[in-house]
Amino acid sequence: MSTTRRLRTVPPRAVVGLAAAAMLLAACGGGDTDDTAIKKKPDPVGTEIDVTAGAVAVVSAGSPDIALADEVRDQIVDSVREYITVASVVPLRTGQPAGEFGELFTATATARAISVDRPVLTDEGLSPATKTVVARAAPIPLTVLADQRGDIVLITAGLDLGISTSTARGSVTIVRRGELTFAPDGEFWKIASFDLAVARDGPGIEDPPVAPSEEGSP
Amino acid sequence: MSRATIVRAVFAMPVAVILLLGTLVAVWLHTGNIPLAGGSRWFTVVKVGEAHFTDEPTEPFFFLAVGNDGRTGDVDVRGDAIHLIGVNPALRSATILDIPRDTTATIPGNGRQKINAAQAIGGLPLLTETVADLVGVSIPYAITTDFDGFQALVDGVGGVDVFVETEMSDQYSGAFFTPGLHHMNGDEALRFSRDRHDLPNGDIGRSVNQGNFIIAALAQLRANNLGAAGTLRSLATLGAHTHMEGVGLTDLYRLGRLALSIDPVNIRNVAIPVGTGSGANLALGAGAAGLFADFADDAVLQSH
Repeated sequence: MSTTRRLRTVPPRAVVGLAAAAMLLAACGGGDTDDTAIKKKPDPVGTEIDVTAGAVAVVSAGSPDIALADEVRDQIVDSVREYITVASVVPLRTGQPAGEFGELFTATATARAISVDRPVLTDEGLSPATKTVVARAAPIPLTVLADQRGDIVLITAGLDLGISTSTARGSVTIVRRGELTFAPDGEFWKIASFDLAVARDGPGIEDPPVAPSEEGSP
Repeated sequence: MSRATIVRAVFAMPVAVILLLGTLVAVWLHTGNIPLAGGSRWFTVVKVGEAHFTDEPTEPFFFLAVGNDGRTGDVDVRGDAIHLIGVNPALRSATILDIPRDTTATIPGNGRQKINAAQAIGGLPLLTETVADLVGVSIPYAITTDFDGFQALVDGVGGVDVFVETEMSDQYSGAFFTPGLHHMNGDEALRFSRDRHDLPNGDIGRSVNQGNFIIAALAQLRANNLGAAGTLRSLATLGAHTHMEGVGLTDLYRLGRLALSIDPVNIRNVAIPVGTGSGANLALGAGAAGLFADFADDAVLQSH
């Protein structure tokens, strides 16, 4: 039996994506509309984001004949891509705080993601990038759990992400690895839990935010 | 064939609470050090940290873990290994109250008897109600497993490292262990958990050993560190062999994560005070009321 959860055609991730795109455009154009701004030297900074789906493994407590619908797979990967864009690429690109990414998370996960765990989940606080921000993730492996009735209840996405760019102070590389676990939330799949570790390498990150600990987990 | 049974006895709480099962199905998701990025080494290297989050219960809660004396297919079984487990999520601590099977208790509607008769009379719900009345807490959930299920669960996690404190040489249970650390498979773990004849205080000592085994199983699963994806695989296997009522795999995922976030050193294992001996009805000891009150308020023993 094939099981899937239907998605609306315009998920909230699109809103997040639009916000990210708007921030990128604002950063490139500075919001100016006068001729002087238009005549400025073209901004050499760009972005390259490579996030694709990897292997899908379905594990089931019931029927073994369970498949993950393509649209669900795509939504998961899109969400990962947009999380990377909003939480990492945009801040690196602009030097500004990360945009709103709460729509990608469940309510309870958002509360953590935007507060105590924010230093691990985002790449904020660096000078604006002076070269292209390149974010490349290994193909995202998905592990799908189906319950005894055949309903897909949890999906885990593995993240192995490398980000590189340069600021005025030198090259910066970031490695973020771990797992994001998605659960259905209304009509969408959202990040309900996360286990991430990040390492940053480069000038300008000598004073990192305070690392969160598990002691603070509810 | 169902190997374990989870019964949702009360519908007041929104979240299933099964630490024992959690310890057997979930994993320690603490991500280890990751390789630092390559490139010029003159850069300052800063590991910012890690973040782990799962939507978990936030208030103290209690659940009952029962090992019954049945084999696969048995219907008329008795709860012989009775453990009331309290978890305080905020403090990341837990307490296991070991209740000897010979403890005398009032079984609702059936007078005062050995507490282990409750399951034979009214199944897991009646045993849960009996324990709840005895200790004075609300127990929304309970789990039971039989001999075969217990062995399968232990084998399923690759065995458990158990420290045997005193020599065991019991022909009845088949427990023959020297003092020290033993990696036990399901069969050995069952023998260890059933031995009472050569323990100084009989069934009380057996109950304590069972509580220690639960803690050892948690430590083993934390060490296994399968990751989130591995957790899903374990849940699928478990779900295929578990009868669940009012509980879903998502609940177990959340609760398993909570269980594995608790360091075993923060788990107390305490036998309730009863008269010594075995094979007889054991009355509650003088300190029982105080112990129960200390346990009931926040699942943590402050003065015991």
